[in-house]
Amino acid sequence: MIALLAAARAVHFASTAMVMGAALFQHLVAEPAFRTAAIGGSASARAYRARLATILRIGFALAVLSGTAWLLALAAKIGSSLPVVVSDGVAWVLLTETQFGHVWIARAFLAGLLFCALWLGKAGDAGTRFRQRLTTVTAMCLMGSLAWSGHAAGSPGVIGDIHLIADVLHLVAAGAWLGGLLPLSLLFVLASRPTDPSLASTLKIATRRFSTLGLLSVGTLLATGLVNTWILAGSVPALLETDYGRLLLLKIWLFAAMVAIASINRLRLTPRLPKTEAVHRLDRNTRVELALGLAIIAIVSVLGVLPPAVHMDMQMH
Amino acid sequence: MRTPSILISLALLLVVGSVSAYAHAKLDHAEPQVGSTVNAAPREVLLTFTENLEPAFSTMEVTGPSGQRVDEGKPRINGKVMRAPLRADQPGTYQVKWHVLSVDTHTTEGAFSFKVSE
Repeated sequence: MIALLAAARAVHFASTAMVMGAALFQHLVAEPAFRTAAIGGSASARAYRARLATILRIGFALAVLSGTAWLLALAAKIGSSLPVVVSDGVAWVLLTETQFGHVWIARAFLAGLLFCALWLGKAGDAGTRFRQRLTTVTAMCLMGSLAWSGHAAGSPGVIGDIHLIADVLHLVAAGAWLGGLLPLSLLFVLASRPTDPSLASTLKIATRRFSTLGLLSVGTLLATGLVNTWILAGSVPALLETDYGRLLLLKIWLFAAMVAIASINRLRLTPRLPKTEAVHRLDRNTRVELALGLAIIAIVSVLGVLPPAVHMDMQMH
Repeated sequence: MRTPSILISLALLLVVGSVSAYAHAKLDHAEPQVGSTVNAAPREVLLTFTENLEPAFSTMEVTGPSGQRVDEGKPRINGKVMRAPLRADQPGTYQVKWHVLSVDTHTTEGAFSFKVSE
């Protein structure tokens, strides 16, 4: 049951990031790049938008399914320790009588709004500005609200509030960066088709803009990481000797690797665009970053269900 | 080398954040204290935890020296504190078993005993 919970979390984090990243990428990177290269109305741009719409819709569907699975897996995990309660009853109590459940209800409303934004209007259009904004804002709220499913949500006092804000920013930054890698990769794939040269002109602008977004994300991830580390100071030495701690170190290493690759992309490869070699390397690097990002999500999903091995005077599960 | 190295070093030190597994409510202190001996049977058992609790899924059972339940009704929960009123007057060893769900959805449980002297 713990494995199912971790899996549901992983798919939910990944798909929510996928939706948020794609929405933000379209809003801040793709459309401005198309406007600058004056190809906003071209067939290539429409083809790209259609693909992006597919990413958004698939991500949305996965997020709804995995969000439901998360709730049910959690209910099953809680319910197994209450002798008399049936699984269905537990799920309802969880949804209606706990903070987690109330957050999930609020997120369901957000998902409803996002559904309207994603399925009304044609997939090839840029859509009205209102629709783009609605998509981006609801997606960001869906990502950030995941903070209420984590440690910070249960922390009392002012420290708890600071922790919560840090977590919200951490999640949104991660969504912007990790989630943006897929639409970026898509741009490379479509732009390198010989039959379609007009997208190639957008690569340099788009990569630069995404790189700036990435820089802001990394800065936010580091700053919020600092805050959360400070809040947890004292537990850190204990972290380093447990399975939990080792997983966390792995997360940090993966993050460092992503930042290293992103630095190479920005400092060495982007200036050389649109040379073919630079395009190929950037394309490959982006996919490597994507794989590393998914590994981080997998680790975070497991970390969130692991008990800390630090206390021996009680059983935990 | 340059910016990448600095960033990597910083990352190694700093990205411990976003930690969500320190999310278990640990028993901070209890009244009567764990393993203590008190003069008279207490009116209630009060448990304080390290995290806020979910009332819907947090319980406590207190059994008296002869094995019977001495807590009355559902315990009251306010933030990190759970209190169970008792109807107890016998001297002897009392067992407290608690099972809680923290607001961030992790369950913890534990048990301890205290004595009421003659």
